[in-house]
Formats: sequence, structure tokens, C-alpha cells
Amino acid sequence: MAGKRVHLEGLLGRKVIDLDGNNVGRIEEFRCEERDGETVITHFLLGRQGLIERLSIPGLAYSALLPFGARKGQVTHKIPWDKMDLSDPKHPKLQGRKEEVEEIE
Amino acid sequence: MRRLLEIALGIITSIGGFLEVGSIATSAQAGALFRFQLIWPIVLGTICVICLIEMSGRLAAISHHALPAAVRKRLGFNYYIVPLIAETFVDLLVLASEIGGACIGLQLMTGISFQWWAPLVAVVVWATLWYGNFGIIEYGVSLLGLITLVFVVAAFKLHPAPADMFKGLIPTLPTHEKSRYWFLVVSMIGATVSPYLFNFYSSGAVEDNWDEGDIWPNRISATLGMGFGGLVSVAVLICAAMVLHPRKIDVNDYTQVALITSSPLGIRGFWIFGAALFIACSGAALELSLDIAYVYGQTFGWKWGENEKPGNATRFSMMFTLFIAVASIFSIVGVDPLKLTLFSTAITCVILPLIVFPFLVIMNDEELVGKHKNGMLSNGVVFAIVVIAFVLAIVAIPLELLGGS
Amino acid sequence: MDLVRDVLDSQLIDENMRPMGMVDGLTIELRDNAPPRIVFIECGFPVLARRISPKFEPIVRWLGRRFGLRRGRVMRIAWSKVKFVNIDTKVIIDAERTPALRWEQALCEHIIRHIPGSQ
Repeated sequence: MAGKRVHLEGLLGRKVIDLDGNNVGRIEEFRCEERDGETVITHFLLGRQGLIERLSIPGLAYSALLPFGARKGQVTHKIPWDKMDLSDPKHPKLQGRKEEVEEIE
Repeated sequence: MRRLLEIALGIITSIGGFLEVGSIATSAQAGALFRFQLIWPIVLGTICVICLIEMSGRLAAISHHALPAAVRKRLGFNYYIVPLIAETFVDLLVLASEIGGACIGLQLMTGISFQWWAPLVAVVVWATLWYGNFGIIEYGVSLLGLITLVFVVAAFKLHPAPADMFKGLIPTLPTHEKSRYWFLVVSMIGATVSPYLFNFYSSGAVEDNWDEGDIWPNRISATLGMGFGGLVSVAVLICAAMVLHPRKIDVNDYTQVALITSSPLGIRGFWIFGAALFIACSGAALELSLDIAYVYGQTFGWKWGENEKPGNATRFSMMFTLFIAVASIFSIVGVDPLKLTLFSTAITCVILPLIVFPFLVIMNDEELVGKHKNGMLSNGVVFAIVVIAFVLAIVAIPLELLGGS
Repeated sequence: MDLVRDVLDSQLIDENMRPMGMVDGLTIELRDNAPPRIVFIECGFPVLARRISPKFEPIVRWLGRRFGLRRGRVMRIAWSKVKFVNIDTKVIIDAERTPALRWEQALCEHIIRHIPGSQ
């Protein structure tokens, strides 16, 4: 896998499954930071909350989206880079179980 | 003092630039068929447009970015491609209607068929954009647009009964021609809440280098300017209700619409109507041509701006050049401007949700609008507009088929 | 920094503050025992076509080879050239020396400069 290049936008919206085959959520955001002079991805945000965070819709505007399919309180998963297996970018896998990764309300 | 002058100019230009071929055609038909019963769609549309215009200006003042760029950034290209295609199609139809309206204005004044005027109108619009700058369009053309106040003068001269007019503010069910009634409701709102206005307004604010200090002037000029502009549309409806309705004239072409000013003001009224139609439609044609160039320039990250020389923003300049050329073909081949106008105003409603929905996202984004993001009231209003837009979008096509002819 | 929210689909500005396109795509490199790193920004219609559907990409590339000035190629900017990201993404590159302005220059050369009042 070393040196493999992947289009980031192609990963957007891909469904991630865990070791047991459970659906964890869809990739909605990539959190990154500067490390040793390069910009690296530290976490992948999954689920609807990831999308909501990306769009930054708080308060009433968020409530206004409820009729359009948004769900309040939907659990999101924040997956560290070393827990994500992207060897097949079309089918990303969580290297662990859904319950083991951080949840964000 | 400078701010006061800016506000005053903003209000005047908004009034002068408000009326265009869609508002004139739909208000005249509404007055002729239903007297004062359809004042409420103009009022509803004007309230919607005031809110959305204020937000477009606020976005530009704080983020220094116009609406198209902000929508693509926040909602992504895969979303934005849909309104981009839809808006290109609708803007083309509306621009073709405006060019047609300007040609009809010249036809009324000269007697020469509108088709012959189309190339000249297209060249005048293009040359104004090519050789002019944003100030000329913003102030020059909009000030000329104050000629549309002739409809207000005519409405006063016709002495309508105030009680009857106030009844029209409240939505009521039609007693006859029900599908035509609802088709006109949709068309009138579509003509008032034109998507191009928001892109044009926010792009213009970026061109004028608005900043945080422009937020209140923007609020005042958007509210008063668009509010008074809406009154001019109401004046067209009142004139039609007083002149065309009693004579049972169903508006089928613009020559009949000219009666609404020639009846109270005589032959001068007829001439002024022709001039008003020409100026109002030419002004809207300028805004639409610029709008499509703004939209493409901002979507694809080109250098853009009416204050740039064409040689410095070549793709931007080519975009409005091409757009004007294609839109003028409709009139050259003789497509009926009135029918095209009514069709394009109804179609505008179909794409309205795609344009209005992003306001919910953009105007709550702290990165873009900082502390000036929408409050609960503004979000509630946008939400209500989104709901109205969805309803209109669903009913527009069936009503077009039932009541459009 | 969030890549989708802050970088993707933002305006690209060159070192002279000249607009030079949009961030249409981003490429990351996967590594063993190290976090994925961003390698470059991509700009161009083939990237946009791929985002809508991968099926469209070869069609747009073919059209580009046939009629385009960039021969259907995608412009890539190394991530190391990114100076900062706020609402726009600024890169330390002169747009004039990249394919980003090829259409702008060609239109000026062949059409616009021949029309009076263009300069």
C-alpha cells in the first residue's frame, strides 16, 4: 500500500464497514494537521454528523433541515488514520469494531 | 454623510432596477383578469426578495465572496452542478424575454417589428457591458429605470378605490379561471424572486468592495428599495385592473398593455410606456448577462468583474458575449416575447428551491459570515421561503400546462 | 483543518493574488506506518467530471484532447506550494507560468484583443 495515491474526493461518501461487516457510516470529512513539514490526515469523520459539521449548520437552521432528512443526535464516528484500511479505496474498512472507535454526538 | 448618500442611491437604483418584463407582463395579466385579487403574490414575492437580497449583500460584505462561489465551496461541486445547469437554462430564457421586451418597447415607439430591433438591442446591451463599468450599470441604467414610476403616476390618476386594493393583500380563492389564477400566482412570484438578482447583487457588492460597515446601509436600501420597487409592480397591476379589466381585455400582446398608461396619460403615456419597457428590459438584460458571467467566473475560479477590462478577464467577457448572442436569436426568429416571458417566469419557480436552499447553509457559516450569521428569525424566514419555493416548484409545470396559454 | 470543508472547492489564488481556478480535487498518498499525506491539488474539467461520475472522465478527457488547450490534462499543484488556506487557497506559484490561464491567454490573443476597447 505504501506510496499508493488516492483521489480524496473519491473517498467522500464511501460506506465504511467494520471487522464484523457492520456499517459504521459514510466518510464525510478528513481532519488534518501539520506534522514534520507535511500535511497529514489524522482522522476520518463518518456519518451524517460529519456532513453537518462540514456544512456547519447549527441551531435552528439545523432543525430546519430535519424535514429534509437530517437527524438530530445521530452518532458520528471519528476514526484515527491508523484504524482505517484504504487498501481498496472503493471499500474502506475499519480495522476494529464499531464500538471501539470514538463517537461524537 | 457618505453612507446616507450611498443608502439613498441604493434605494433609488433598487426602485429603478426592480421592474422588468416578467413583472410587467404578469402584473398586467393579473390586473386584467382578476382586478386587485392578485396583489398578494407581489407582496409575498417582494418580502421574500427583500430577505434574500439582504442576505446576499451581507454575505458579500463579510466574506468578500459572492453567492455562487460560496455555494460551491460549502455544498460541493456535485451539488452545485445542478443549479448551475438549471440557472444557465433559465437565465437564457429570461434574458431572451428581456431582449424581446426591449424590442417591443422600440416597436411601440417606431412601428417597426420587434424582430428587426433584436440585433440592435443585443449590440447595445453588449457594448454597454464591454465598454462600461459596474457604476454605469448600477447607477446609470437604474436611474434611467426610474421612468417606470410612470406606472405609479398612472395608478394615482386612475383613482382606484383603496378598500378594494387592500382586499387584494389577503389571499383569496378564485371564482373563475382557477388554473389561470394559480398559474399567475406562480408566475408573479417567479418574476419577483428571480434567482439572478441574488448572484448579481452579491457579485456587485464584491465589485463595490463592501465591508462590515455596509451591513446596515445594505439592510435599509434592500428593504426600502425593493419594497418601493414592489409598489411599482403593484401600480402596473392597479393600472391594468382599472383600464383593462372593465374593457374585458385579456392581455395577449404588449400593445394592449400600453393602454394602461395611454388611457390615463394620453399619447404621452403611450410613448412613455414604450420607453419604460425598453429601459426596464434593457437594464434587466444587462444584469442577466452579467449574472451568467459572474456565475461561471466564480464557479470555475476565473478572473471576473465588470470593472475589469475585457482583456483582463477574457473568459468572463466571452461568457456574456456568447450569452447575449444566443439569447437574441429568440427575438430574431420571432418567438413571441409575451409567451416567452410567461413561460420563463413560471420555469424560474421550478429552480427556485435549488437557489434558496443554500441560504440556510451559507448564512449560518461562521467562516463566511462570522458573527453576522442568521438569527432565529432570519432562519425561520428562509425556511418559510424554502417551503414556498418547493411548493411552487412542484405546481409550476402542471399549472403551466393547465393555465399557461 | 478539515479538507472538504476548508480546501476542496475553494478558490485558488496565485502569489500575485490572481484567481487561477478552483481546488477541484485533492490527492493523498497512503503510507505504511505513517498517516496519509496530501500530495497535490488537482484542477480541471476531467477532475470535475470524475466527481460527478467516473464514467464521464474519459469522455471529458477525449473532448479535451480533441478541442482543449490543455489536451485533456489535469493541472496538479504540489501541496508544498500552498501558502495558506482561509476562505481561498493561496499558492506560491505565478499563474502566468502554469496551464491555468491558457484559455484566458488564447482568447485574448485570438479574439478579445482584436475588439476595440478590450484593453
